Amino acid sequence: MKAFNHVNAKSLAEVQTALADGKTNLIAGGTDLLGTLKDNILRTYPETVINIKTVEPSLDYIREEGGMLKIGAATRLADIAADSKIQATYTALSQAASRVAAPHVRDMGTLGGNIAQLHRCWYFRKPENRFDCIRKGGGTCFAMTGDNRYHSIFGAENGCIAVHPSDTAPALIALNAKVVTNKRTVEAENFFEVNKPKSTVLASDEFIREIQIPAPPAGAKSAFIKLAFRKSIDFPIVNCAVMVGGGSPRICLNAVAPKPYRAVKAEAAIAGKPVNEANAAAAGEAAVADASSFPEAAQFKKQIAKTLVKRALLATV
Amino acid sequence: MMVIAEELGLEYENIQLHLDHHYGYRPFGGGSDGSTASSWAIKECANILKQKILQAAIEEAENPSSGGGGFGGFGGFGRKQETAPNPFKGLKPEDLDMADGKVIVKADPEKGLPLGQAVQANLFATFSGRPPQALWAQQGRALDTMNTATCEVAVDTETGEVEIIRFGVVTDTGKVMRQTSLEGQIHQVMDFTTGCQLLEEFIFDQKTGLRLSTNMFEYKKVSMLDMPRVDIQLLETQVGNACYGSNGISHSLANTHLVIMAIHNATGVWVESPATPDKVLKALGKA
Repeated sequence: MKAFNHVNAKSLAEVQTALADGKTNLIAGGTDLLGTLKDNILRTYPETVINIKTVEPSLDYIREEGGMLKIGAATRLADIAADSKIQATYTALSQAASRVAAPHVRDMGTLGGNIAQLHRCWYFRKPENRFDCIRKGGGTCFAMTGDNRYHSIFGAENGCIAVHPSDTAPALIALNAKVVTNKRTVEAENFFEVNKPKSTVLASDEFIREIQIPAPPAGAKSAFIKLAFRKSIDFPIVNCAVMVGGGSPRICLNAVAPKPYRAVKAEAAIAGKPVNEANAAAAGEAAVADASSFPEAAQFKKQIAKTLVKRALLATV
Repeated sequence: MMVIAEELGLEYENIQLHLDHHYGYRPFGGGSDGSTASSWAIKECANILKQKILQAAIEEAENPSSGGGGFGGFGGFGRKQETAPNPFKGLKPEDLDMADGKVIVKADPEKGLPLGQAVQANLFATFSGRPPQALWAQQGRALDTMNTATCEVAVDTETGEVEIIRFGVVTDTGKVMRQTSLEGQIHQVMDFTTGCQLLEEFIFDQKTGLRLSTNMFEYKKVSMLDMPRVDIQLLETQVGNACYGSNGISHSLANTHLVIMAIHNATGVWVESPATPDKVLKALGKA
């Protein structure tokens, strides 16, 4: 790991000013950032890392206010998973937070960091930038013609077929959340983008302040399911979050596309219908109706995705 | 140390181990034949020492003044001569044995002296030699460790996930030397077995030859939560090559296809290991 300066920020204004130089990275839990720095995966290396956990007032909070749940960007995943309000009312988020990585990572990693983490792709993440891929400003997506067994089944975005690995992102999208930055408020659904090398729409001097989740409609229930190879400390092969039973159904998959994939056809398939085995299975089929036949090696994820949609729906009843 | 205590009729707590690093002494384990090789050598050495002890017990019985003390000690100084007759007087070393911390008379085990009284001399024994050839090295000419392992799996045919419900292991290590170590060894090889057949894989980029499963996220070792139950039954037939008929266990239970066969038994399809969901779904015709 190369040397860098570490600054404990005292205010959000200080964070914004620091990020504006383009040579500064923001750190909260650091569970993704430090890995990328240690492996030196990118073209550039930060001169300074600025710590957002020290700002006053703190961004570490969970509170209900004005008919919505507000979670500070620096709130740790373990605290979100353990919060009884979130377990009862925003179940999918609680379940998603509890399935991220392993206890040590959840004790450090934050909600803001979990949705702003960089993509997982073994070409992109190969140490010492061995594959200077399209996400880093290079001209090639090595996964397109290489080993892409865990890559996107919904096509490329900006030439990249790496998948977004967040567990909490689909839960936030299913729960209709908003991401509040230091500059604007964005629907969670519109927050993700292949924005070289970032995975979000955040500008270089922009950072997440808060996540807002409206109270679910009366009768709505949500659930999250993850399939990973290991039961602990593993990224998803596919994960899925749903909210049904009140208002319009919302279904979101992740790890199947370069950004969280809202399965609108699956939502339409289950809308207005009782959640039962047959209807849930039909929604599962609809969820992958638009999936690509490329890459061939990743086709198995369709079967998993439709099964997870079905099972997540059934988990709400 | 257990072996020394056993051979000399002492308690385990009576044995002290001093590994003198100044002399570069390294216990040689013999790799996969470790406990059987070293315990065999220790047993040989302990018996040489035992013969010296019994010899000294006779010598000191015949000639009490000669056994007054070892070098550097104060034996005999201020000590009253034993008033009771020494029970070993007139006997030969082969008439004696060691048990319960004492040197005893074989023909009448009630007769004996605590080791500290029977022998005052400082005694040393060394042994070096080549252990009996390991059974597994004898190419089937000798009876080797007999192991049987079973595996029970649940296969999710919708997602391709495989969960090992439990392993069953029956093992004959000849003689169980230390049960917790033995069970630890068995759990460890079943961890290897799980990882090898369900998760662990070196994945290389075909064009560059670079390894893609570079880190512990992508090269998937089994986590504690993935480690299945292992039911163990131990047998002791005492037919091994080493002391007390032990023959060790090493990694002899590690295998490459037990889980794969269980998956076949459950689903009727063969899957290459590691049986990750993509391969299982493909084999089932669902991907």
